[in-house]
Amino acid sequence: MKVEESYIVRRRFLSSMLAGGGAALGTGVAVPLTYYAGNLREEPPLAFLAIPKAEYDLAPGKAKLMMYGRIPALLIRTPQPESALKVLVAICTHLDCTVGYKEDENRIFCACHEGYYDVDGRVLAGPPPKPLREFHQKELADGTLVIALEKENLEKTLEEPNA
Amino acid sequence: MKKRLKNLTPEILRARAARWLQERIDLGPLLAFAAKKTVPIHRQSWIYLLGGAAMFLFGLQVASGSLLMLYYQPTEASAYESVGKIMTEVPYGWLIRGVHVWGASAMVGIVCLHFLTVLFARAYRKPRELTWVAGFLMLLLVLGAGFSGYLLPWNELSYYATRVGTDIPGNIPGVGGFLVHFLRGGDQVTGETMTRFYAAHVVIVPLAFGLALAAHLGFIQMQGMSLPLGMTEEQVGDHQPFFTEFALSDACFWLLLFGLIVTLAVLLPAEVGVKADPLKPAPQGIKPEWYFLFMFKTLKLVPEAVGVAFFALVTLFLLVVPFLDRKAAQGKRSRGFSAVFLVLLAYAIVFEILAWIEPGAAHPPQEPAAESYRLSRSIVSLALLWSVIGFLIYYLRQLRQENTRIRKLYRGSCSPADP
Repeated sequence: MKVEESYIVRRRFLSSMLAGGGAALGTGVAVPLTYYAGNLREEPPLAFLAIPKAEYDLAPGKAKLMMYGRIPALLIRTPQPESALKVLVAICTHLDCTVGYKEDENRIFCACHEGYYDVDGRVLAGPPPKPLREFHQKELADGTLVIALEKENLEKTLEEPNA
Repeated sequence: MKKRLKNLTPEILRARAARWLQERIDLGPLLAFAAKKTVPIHRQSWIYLLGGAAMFLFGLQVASGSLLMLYYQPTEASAYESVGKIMTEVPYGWLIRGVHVWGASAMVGIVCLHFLTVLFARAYRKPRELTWVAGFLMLLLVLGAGFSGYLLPWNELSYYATRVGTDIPGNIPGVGGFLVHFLRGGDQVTGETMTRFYAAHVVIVPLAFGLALAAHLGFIQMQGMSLPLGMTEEQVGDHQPFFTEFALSDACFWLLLFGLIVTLAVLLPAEVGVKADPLKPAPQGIKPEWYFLFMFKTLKLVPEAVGVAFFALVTLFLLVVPFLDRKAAQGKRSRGFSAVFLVLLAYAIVFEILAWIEPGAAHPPQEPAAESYRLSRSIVSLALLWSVIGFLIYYLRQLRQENTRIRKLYRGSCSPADP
């Protein structure tokens, strides 16, 4: 009897050691795989973008798209009389499509699921859950426009414009 | 020598080949199993053709896809151009790609039909729950293959379909951010996304599909064909042997599908579209492939999180439905489940139609067709193809009838006691 019981204990011990070792090996394999397959690395977003005057010099009622790092930015010169330059993140807040400016309607349109925004990025119609994010912008003395997603980045660049 | 060759009739050759193989591998159990495999004959016997047809289309997709890999280049800079080259320069490239594109639609269609017939016949009921789970995973893999393949030409429509499709899992609490990153290979849809979609499309998904298919087929071999719920053995007219009677019906159906896909590929060539440009807004009237239209319409009308939660719940429900449908497991009708299935089907059909009738994107002008594409010549080729298919189907059916006749004669003379 005693011998049999020790066999059972021994078997259980071995099984639990194996299970523990298997779990450790599994975790050791899973962690690098997760980082590898997810391409999880630090990708700091672009701090700011300096745009020469010629590139953002739009006529009133016109707009253009420009890459801010990996993100498209929509620059709109709103129509007269109060013509102003709006710079928005051109990614629809619904399902990530790039939005465009409709000149004839003076509003922003996402064709994927028919979402509408006004030129300030506020949702007018359709499924978008949130307004479009707006860039902080500053015009330098030489006419260069600097845009940034974070205000402090913008101020940093103003202190040292050649950064 | 001459005399020996003269005696080599096909029968003798076949017997020799069989003996050669038998001396190395024991074919006995395999042949005995094949001889025992039968398919019931009743009014709804046609549903047994659908699974085999899906398997045939899987083969067709692997074949045509492998051929496309000879010329396709999965990089952001050259993917679109290489697809254009396949369509215009590579001899018969337009045909191979057309077969792959239409074959994909046909496969999704047949798999969905197979899924619906199994669902409504309750063929998932005990003891076939695992066959259902493997099959449902294959349905998801087919949709995944369609979705990942759609991006590869790197045109505007595919680019935005991928941005939307890969943004959807971002709604899942906790792991959403990781999933989006995992699917895209970064935070945005870029060339990195194409590389991994290519890997998924040509290796990961087909491999997973093949494994699930092996399990699915294995279960079916072990359990035999299911009868629709409520049908008794008395209502079954007869059982036909799978080899060769049912296999001959399979072959006829596969030939029809093949002819249909080639015809569509010739008359409605696959499009190349406009090259994707991250600096251009999504084009007006953009729509996904037909099998995602109901989801697309749903996401237009309801808040994103609600839509995504709904799709996830329905998918999960369908995956485990054999374990929930207790009545069907006992061989009883389960009207509640029928009602749920009908409501879901009606919803999918109505939303498909609603999205279908919306005005779509303007079709860009097609590239000048390849040298090898001449519609007049192609029509003649199609007529020839259908003549050959018609001829083959006629003789396959003759052979089938002959086999049935012999089987009945044999049964009548050898075992008169057999009903």
